[in-house]
Amino acid sequence: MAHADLLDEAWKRGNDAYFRGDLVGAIAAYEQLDRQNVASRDLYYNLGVAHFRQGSLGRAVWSFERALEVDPDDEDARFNLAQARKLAERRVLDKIESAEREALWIRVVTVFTASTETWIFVGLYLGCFSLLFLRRRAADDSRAALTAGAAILGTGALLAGILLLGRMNLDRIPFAVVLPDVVAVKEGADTTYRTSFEVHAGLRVRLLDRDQDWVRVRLANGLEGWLRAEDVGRL
Amino acid sequence: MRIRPIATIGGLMLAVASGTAAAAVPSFIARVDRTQVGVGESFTLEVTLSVEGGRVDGYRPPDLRGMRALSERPSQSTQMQMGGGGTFVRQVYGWHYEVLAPDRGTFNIGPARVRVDGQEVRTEKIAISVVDTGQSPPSRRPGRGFPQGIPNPGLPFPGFGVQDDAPPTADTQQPGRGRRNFLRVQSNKLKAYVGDEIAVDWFLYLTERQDKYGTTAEPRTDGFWVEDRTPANPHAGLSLTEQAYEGRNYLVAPLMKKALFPLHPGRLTVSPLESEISRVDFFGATLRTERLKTEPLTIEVLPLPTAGQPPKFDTSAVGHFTLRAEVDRDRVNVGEAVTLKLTVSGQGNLRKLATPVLPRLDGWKAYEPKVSVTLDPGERVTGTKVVEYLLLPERAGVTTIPPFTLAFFDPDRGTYGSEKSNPLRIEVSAEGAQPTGAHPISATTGTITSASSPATAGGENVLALDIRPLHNRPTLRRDLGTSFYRSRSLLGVVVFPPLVLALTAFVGFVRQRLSKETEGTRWRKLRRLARRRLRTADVCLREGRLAQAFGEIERVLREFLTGKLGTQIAGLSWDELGSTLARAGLAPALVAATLASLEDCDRARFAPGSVSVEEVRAARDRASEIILQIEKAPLRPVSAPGVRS
Repeated sequence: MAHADLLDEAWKRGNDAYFRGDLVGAIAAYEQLDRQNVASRDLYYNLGVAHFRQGSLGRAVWSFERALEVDPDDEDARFNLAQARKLAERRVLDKIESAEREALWIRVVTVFTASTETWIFVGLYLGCFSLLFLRRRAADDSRAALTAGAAILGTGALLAGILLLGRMNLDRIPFAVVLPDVVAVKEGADTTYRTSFEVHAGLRVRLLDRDQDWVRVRLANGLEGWLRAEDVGRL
Repeated sequence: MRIRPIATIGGLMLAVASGTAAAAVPSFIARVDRTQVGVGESFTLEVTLSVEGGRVDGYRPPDLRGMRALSERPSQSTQMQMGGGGTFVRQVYGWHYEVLAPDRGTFNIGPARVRVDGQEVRTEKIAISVVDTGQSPPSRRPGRGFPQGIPNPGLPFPGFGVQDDAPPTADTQQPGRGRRNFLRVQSNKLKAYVGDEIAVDWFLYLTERQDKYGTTAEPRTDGFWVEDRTPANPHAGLSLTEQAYEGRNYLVAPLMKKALFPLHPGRLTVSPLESEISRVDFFGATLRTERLKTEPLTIEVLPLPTAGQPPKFDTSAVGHFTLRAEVDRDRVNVGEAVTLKLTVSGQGNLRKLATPVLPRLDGWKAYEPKVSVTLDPGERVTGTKVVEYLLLPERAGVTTIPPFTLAFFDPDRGTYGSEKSNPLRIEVSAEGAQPTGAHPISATTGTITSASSPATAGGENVLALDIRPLHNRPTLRRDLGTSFYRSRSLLGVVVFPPLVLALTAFVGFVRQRLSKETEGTRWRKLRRLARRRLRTADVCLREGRLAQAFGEIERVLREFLTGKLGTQIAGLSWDELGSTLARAGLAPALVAATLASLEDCDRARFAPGSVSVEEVRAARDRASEIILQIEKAPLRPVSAPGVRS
């Protein structure tokens, strides 16, 4: 069976399980696809819906965030993310005071989606080199025009490449979402450390460091602490 | 008929039971589970003695007078009670009889007797009325205890209920004569309509406790839709109760319970359940294993009557159902969601039942419905099926959702019926007059357009807690851009074009270098040419073509000189050639030798008959020598007379 058929089979199995009311089975099928690095807003969306129905709000928020990363225009994912966050806030509200806006470079590199940036870069880059190839075989009188065209496309590819590199850099400094309903943030990477504060399902945090099974997180207001790696879902 | 004395166990028990303290008033009671039975049916008689200390002996069982004891079993237990300034220990002796009433009439069970500290106590007489079968009161369901509600302190196995068993409606098991272990399947009906519910139970009957039980073959239920109704057993292992079956006592365990819904008419068979029971010794080694098997259960399934059958009738709609339709609000603005809820309740195959379909509503967008089924615990399959539609009005106006109709077949009456909901009227206003607590939803995108947080909204909208439904596309839509971004192929795309461009440039450079003539390559070329000409001359010499051989020698000299001088010498006179060679810096002797050799060749070409083979060979050798010397001589580039350099 072709790879695409196997993916579709797992996708259908997940949907069927969901409609049978077997949320555990549905989540298992969707997570199987996720482990195969399938980037699909529908996959993340359905995973979020299944987690929401199961009451795992943190994981639901995480999944909807991932769906929006793939396609920020997905209205269903945006709606469900808002609903999941509202429900999580009803349970308990993480009041983040003096939360700072994200850095300028982050806002710049995330203007477009990863998919859009990739296609823009690849198009300009290949176009630039195509013109350079043509230039080698072209007559003398058309070489200047081809050179100018290649320069323009090359400049565009350079800018798109910078955006893409910025996004890759952002991916290396990842964000994550808190998964359990409530979890204590420790002062160090061990349960014996004192609890600094508590965070709740769906809260977006930045991952700063990792020490074996623990990760150091920073909240939007600059508060930092340590959580178990299994308690956060990386975006 | 009198009960045979229980000599062995009873005597031992009574001998053990002795006391020194003054006995309190003993309680000695005889009771039956019912006072009216059918002919041939059995009932239970319990005799219980409860005494605080004291010597107990001389037990005499009750006289059954015309009835027959099918089984008898004594028991003993000790009860301790603390309080009132001390601890009281009470011995309880029990005698359990299964009694068969073979003939019609009224029978008196005589008193049982026993001596406590030498004093005889006796039970009261009990009158039993034996009537024709069918007039007797229904037998008790398992676990209900005695009808009098009297606690039964003398039960042989605490936690067990003593029961008799009703004759099964449809029982395929034939245990035969004698008391032995067996499996039994019991169905509430052997003939049913398509889609009708059939309750089937499987039981294990044991004559004594077993250490291991395992199912080796589950019953196959081909042709049925199956609902598993086996109650959850919180305890590991079998849940045993004591029951009488065909006049004999058994330890009975329910194994499984299923509700079967036939899917098509015909004779459908449920295959046997097969099990293994075994006893093990203290160390866990199997002492004895017994394989048990039920008979197959055959159900005759009748087709649903065609008379009065509604068109496109759903054969799962067999049973008793009610239908209700409702909306969460009947006045909304454009873009505000309405939840339409269809509720089907009743008895039947609710899970498979096709619910009425929402017709297309003009001016409304309907999302995929959410379906949930809740089944109640109990003997029959009853419960509720709820279908929720999320509806979004796209324009203002009044919409009436037509009534929903659910047709079903009533198997008890053998007729068709139908349930119809009320029509639902919804008024949709243009945007602007937003009701309190409503969540504005974009008419074009179907999304919430403002942050109407439940925390800040005046009222609570149930819809706000729900989310958009699942994306149920037939195939998984992958985002190729993001997949490409995350893959290593992107690196390949980045690296490949410049690599190819660089490779192309390198190949061009190499080819250009190879095509450019240098001093060395020119000399190598000249040498190759000279060798080739001289070889040709040798061939001509061997073949006797002497003039041609001289022609080749002349050509090699001229070509070599042309190549060496870098200027064309063809057409020059001997003098001009000699002066040119001299100007190029060639030694005079070599110039003379060269000219002489050329002249020899010229002469030989035009007078071929005057030359010999030796002369040709000598000319060839001279030419080779001259070429060697010219090659070593440092020459200046010159231009031939009349030729611009």
